[in-house]
Amino acid sequence: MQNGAGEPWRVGERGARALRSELGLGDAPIDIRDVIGRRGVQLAIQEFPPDWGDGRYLKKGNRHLILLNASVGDANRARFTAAHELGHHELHQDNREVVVYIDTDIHAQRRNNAEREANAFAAHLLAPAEALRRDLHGIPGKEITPEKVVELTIRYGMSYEALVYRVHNAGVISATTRNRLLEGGRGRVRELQALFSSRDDDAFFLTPQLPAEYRAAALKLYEERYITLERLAEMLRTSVEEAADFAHKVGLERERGLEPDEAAVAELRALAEGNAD
Amino acid sequence: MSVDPAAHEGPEHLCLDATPLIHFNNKGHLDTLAALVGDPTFTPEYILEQEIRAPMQTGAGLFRKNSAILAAPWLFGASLDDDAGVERVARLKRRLGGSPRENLGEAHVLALAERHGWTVVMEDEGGRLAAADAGDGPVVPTVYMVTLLAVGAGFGVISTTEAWAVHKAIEDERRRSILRTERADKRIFDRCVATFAKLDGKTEPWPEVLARGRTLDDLIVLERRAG
Repeated sequence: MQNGAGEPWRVGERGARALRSELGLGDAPIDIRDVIGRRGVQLAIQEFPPDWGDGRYLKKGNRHLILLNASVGDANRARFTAAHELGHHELHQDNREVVVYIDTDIHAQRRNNAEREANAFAAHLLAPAEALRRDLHGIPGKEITPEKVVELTIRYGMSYEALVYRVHNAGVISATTRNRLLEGGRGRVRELQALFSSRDDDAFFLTPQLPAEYRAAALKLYEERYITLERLAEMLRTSVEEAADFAHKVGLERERGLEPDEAAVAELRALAEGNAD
Repeated sequence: MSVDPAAHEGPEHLCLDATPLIHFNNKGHLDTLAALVGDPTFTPEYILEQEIRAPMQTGAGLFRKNSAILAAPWLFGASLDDDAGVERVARLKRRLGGSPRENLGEAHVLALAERHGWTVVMEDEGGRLAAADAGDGPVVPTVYMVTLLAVGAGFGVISTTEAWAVHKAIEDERRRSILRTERADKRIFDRCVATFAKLDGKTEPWPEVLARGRTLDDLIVLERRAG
């Protein structure tokens, strides 16, 4: 019952397995942000018009960026897109200086092998077949409920439909059970999700995020006083007040561009206390 | 009435960037600023014209208050009209960057302070960095507004209560100072004032003591880090 089979599917699965193995992830649920970071890829989220699509993978030289659209879909979709773009990074490297993959609809029927491989990679990476089998072990297909599926969507960070297809493609449930679950979940997913607590990273995927490397570089410029707070705010796409708070929160005080001269201050204190030479 | 800057040279004279003028004034504390900085105090003609008068002439809201700055009898405009002065302003502007008009006030302040040996009250970080850079012209002593207030309180020019109230009024809106306005910050402020008070009589008199510049700022910073 290995549906979704075919060479692209196998390529994606092998890639995901290899990555999980290399990073020592076993078959546990993952934080895709962490995995992306560990592969040296920057992750950014911005609000683009809906027709911009789901995401992009961009490579220039040895720099890699996954860019997601916060205006499309929900956190589950964004997470899947992130994993899909990581699939391009892992599976589709070549010697070209510049590589761009544009994904306008991550769930559209794909004829392109690279896109199908990236989708398979994402599905395997987010929800390994072994883990799904274990989760549903001992539960007859006809007894798997939409509630159980929603519980799994939260564990693996996938949408209801994607998860149903995933357990089917992983050979855990039959096509009949798949169709019953798809029908049973229709229009009820939000209501069912309310029964469970949401994932901690949901808000992250719905909020514009600049790449960590970019933010660090901007803060470095601010710290070294090459730019003003106003310019920092501009670079961080925020208000001056929020930029100041951000710098404050990361322990970056404005005076650190010119580190306090402790010796001069000690001398001044000594003078104040009457201990000066 | 005009005052010849050349007759008032030295670190006991202050040159103000636009920020302290605007913020002290907007919060109704121009008199406190006057008490602290003395007469005469300078600011570039450029700032008076472009950053104080021009916005006021738009008639928009808060800018209408700027007339009080223009009327301040202790504040005098200064300019650098000779070739060397214009060139120095241009070089500083190039260093400070920004759009064509951005940072021009700071560039004028620093060029004037370099020439006349003045101490500067400035918040702008790029400007302060340029001021401290001995490799790019003479070092110009600069102090933050909060330092002006704390040292002034320590030297008895204004009360500590008044100094904190002014700092709080300005900083609650700006939120960019080296010292915030929470209760813990007040304790830090008080400790700094106490240290500055001990300097009174042992070091340069007010306001010349401000020429110690960033060492005074650093004392506040280190006190804050100590918690």
